[in-house]
Amino acid sequence: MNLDGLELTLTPRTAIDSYNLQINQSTLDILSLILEFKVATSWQISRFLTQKDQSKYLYLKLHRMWQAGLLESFKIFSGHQAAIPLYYLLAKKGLSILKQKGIYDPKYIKNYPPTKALLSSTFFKHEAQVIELASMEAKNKTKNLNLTFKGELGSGSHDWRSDKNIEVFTPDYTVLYTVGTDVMHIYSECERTLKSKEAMIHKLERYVLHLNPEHRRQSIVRLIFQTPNMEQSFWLNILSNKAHFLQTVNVMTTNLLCLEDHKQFLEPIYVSPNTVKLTKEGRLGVDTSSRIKLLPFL
Amino acid sequence: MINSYTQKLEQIIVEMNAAVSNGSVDIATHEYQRWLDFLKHIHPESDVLKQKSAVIIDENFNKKVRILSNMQEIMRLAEKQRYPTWFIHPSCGESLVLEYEHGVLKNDTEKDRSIPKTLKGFTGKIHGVSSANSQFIAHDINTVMPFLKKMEILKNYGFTTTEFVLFPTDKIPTISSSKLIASFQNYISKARSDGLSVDGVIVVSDVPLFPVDNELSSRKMLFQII
Repeated sequence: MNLDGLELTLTPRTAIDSYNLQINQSTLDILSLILEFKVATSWQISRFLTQKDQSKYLYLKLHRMWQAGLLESFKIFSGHQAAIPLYYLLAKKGLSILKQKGIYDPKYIKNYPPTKALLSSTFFKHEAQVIELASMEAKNKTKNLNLTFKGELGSGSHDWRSDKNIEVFTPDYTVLYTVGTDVMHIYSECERTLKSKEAMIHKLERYVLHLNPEHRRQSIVRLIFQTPNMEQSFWLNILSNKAHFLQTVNVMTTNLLCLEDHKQFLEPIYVSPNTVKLTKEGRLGVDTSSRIKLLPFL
Repeated sequence: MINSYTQKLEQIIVEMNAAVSNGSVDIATHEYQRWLDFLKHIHPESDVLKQKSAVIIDENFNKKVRILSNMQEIMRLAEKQRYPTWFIHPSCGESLVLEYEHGVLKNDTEKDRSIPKTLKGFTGKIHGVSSANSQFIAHDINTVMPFLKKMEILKNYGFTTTEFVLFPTDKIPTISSSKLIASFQNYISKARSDGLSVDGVIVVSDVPLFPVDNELSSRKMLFQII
């Protein structure tokens, strides 16, 4: 999706429809998903809830939730008439319902970004990519492999040392991979832009410092880079400057070229400290050609 | 060199051997094997190791095989055991146990001429399957020893042994479960094209995969392709 010529305008609603929308579990699931990921299309919601790209029921449900004032919507005009995606975001009424139900910490609801902030181009581009990746991954859920998703909001961490709820690290989204009784937390960071070396080190350092030691064995910090070059730069940076981080935190990386299809999430597309190799052809580099699966049992 | 402690260990192992041979429930065969391995490590010249009576009966022999249809469960098992050496062979045919006493076959096997009537000096049992063309295919002996050793002994005795391959468990991190299932399906297809009626793949391990069980083998599992 080309987002360069972005125009974000809320779909006008002349009046809140008096349709008596039932606030059932399906409604709450949708509200929660959109709260976590900020913006979502109907196909992305469908992927999370049904593992399919399309659901007529959800399409209608979302439309009714919008008519009832629980959601706002906007279309992305990118200069082409074809394929104009419709995005949904939470309206005040939807936030209020979640607050009433007590599903989330009231502090999160209170600090939820205003609609104006969500509609800013930079913010939207990032959030749109995050939910697209997460929803693709959600399609891999099966009866043997359970995947549970939390957006940035639900991924915030409790500082184990001070026993306080503070944002010590905020992955873009977190997936819990559950097979039988084994649960692995995958803290996923989507690296859309090239950050400075210091910024990347600082990001990883937050996990090193704040991830509960007992939790480390059951968690992986997964970095999804825009390009292979960005991925290689990361490894060269970490191996050259903070190699000891890799003894504390399980880190794995991949890039978008490896993720053309949802099934690729389960394929050997990840670089880990055990597979990456330093090379020296003139100057120091890294070889990221050897790749493994995110989890051995996938 | 032998010292008093090694002698005590040898005495303990002799008593264990007697207990295992008598079917004692106080010690499992694989636990006894560990004591033997330790003696082999500290005193390989021990006469106890040389005694022919130190034959350990495999408690898993002819037990039912645990059935798994979830490849992820198998992969988890391999990861927990740090990618051990496994072998796989087709699961097929009607199960048959041959019993030999002092080298003479006790079973009535008139129909199958591929089964040797005498095995010089062998007392024990051999497990196999009878294929569609009534040929006996051997894949187990009732004494504890590595799988490859069993196949070698069976071949030396003149048996047709099951086709088996090494399961490269160390490759599990680099291959998805769907591709591994596809590999198993190809393996089964090939076995079927050779005339065998195959319903799955048996995974064999020289070390226990599961806790000791009265009914199910602790060293084998059947991956059934549904």
